[in-house]
Amino acid sequence: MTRHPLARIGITLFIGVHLVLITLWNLPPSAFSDRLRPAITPYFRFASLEQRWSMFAPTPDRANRYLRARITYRDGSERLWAIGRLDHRLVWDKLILERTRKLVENVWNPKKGWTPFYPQICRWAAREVSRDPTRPPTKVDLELVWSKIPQPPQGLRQDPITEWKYRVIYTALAEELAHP
Amino acid sequence: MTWRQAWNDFWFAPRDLRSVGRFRIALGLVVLMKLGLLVPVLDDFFSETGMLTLAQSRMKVPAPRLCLFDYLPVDCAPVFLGAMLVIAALFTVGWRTRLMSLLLYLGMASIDQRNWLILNSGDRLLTILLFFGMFAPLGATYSLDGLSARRRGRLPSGPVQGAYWAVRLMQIQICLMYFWSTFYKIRGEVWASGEALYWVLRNLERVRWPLPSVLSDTMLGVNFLTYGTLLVEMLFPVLVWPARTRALMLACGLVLHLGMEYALTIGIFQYVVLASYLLFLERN
Repeated sequence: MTRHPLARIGITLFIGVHLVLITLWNLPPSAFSDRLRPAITPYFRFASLEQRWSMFAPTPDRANRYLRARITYRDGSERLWAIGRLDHRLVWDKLILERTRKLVENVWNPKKGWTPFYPQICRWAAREVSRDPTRPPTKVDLELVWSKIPQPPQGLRQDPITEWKYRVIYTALAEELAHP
Repeated sequence: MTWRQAWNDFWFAPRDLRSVGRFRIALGLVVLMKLGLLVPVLDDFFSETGMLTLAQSRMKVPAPRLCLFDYLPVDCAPVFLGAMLVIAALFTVGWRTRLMSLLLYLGMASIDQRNWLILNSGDRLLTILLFFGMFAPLGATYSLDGLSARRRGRLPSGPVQGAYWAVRLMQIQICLMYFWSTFYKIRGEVWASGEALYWVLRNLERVRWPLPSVLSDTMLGVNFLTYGTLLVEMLFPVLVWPARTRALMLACGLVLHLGMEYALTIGIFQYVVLASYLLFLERN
């Protein structure tokens, strides 16, 4: 029981500090919060207290999207491997593979500085498709595949998937693929 | 009652710990679920041949960090996960709860920091609750520790009361989650206009089972779902505290989160939140 005055003071400080830090951490970007956040970040990252409660906010995704690896082999043949495409999966598969959707949600936009992570994703994709050492890939194109959801109310009774489009966001060549 | 008395009563007055014991069991089961779902994809997420190497994981979360993977062999993930499953099971049944609580927090923080590319809100909330949970008397009730203490005469035969301040922190964290969630939602035009759930329910990567057509395929239904979500999240931080409105608020939250779990695949988030609701079922 916390009856000792010093213990109560210590706990009160602990409570106060954490409530203030959590509040400051969650503030939207501004001159004030941008100055404070670097001071809070080391502790929050260390202790895994980072939090951002902005799921589907301020605007939910307006497109269905996934990543696709196009693996090219020496003989010219190609294999495709989808990352984070769950729309045609069974419920149990979705439960297990939901984290690949999260991966795509995090890294699909190269403009947000995710490019350094693409080579490893390409290597991973190539390994998932084939581990045959006699048939190494010569190239892996990482493609962003997306389909814009139709605007409401016209889209209410339509298939949300209208037309899949894709563009290459990264190409890993043989040398990069061979690098562990 | 003065402010100081009210503060001391809210944070430090001993309270019935039965809800805390139930919360521990529920949280432990959620941890077991999270770890179990990682087993089939361990190689993809936590190995050097997976999507993110250990060195890359340090790019976002550099040292110093609370990641035991930094000190273990790079291929330790299967053994690590096995150890975590054992610790989570012992935590759930309440054996050496304080120690297991600490180890569980360290382990889950390590898993989070090893591959942050795949974390969702549920992972974050789970680890935060485990952090504050280290300071709470999670093992006092419905536990092997509690059973052992009673046999040795160290606990009374009736309801066990104990320090509640860490539980209050967890409760407030849940309320802050809803507060900030509402805050960020109402900044978006689609939430204010009532069409947000139209977009959410057409994101087929997330959709699990379809809702009745009257809800998802009509603007009235979409508006109802959108504003209903906002209303529950907005009111929860306020109305969950008074005894008169608590049950109703928890019931509304239960419907919201069960509905989300039915319609969407959002990892373990709903289960973590619903486990935390047990903390609000306190008896005075």
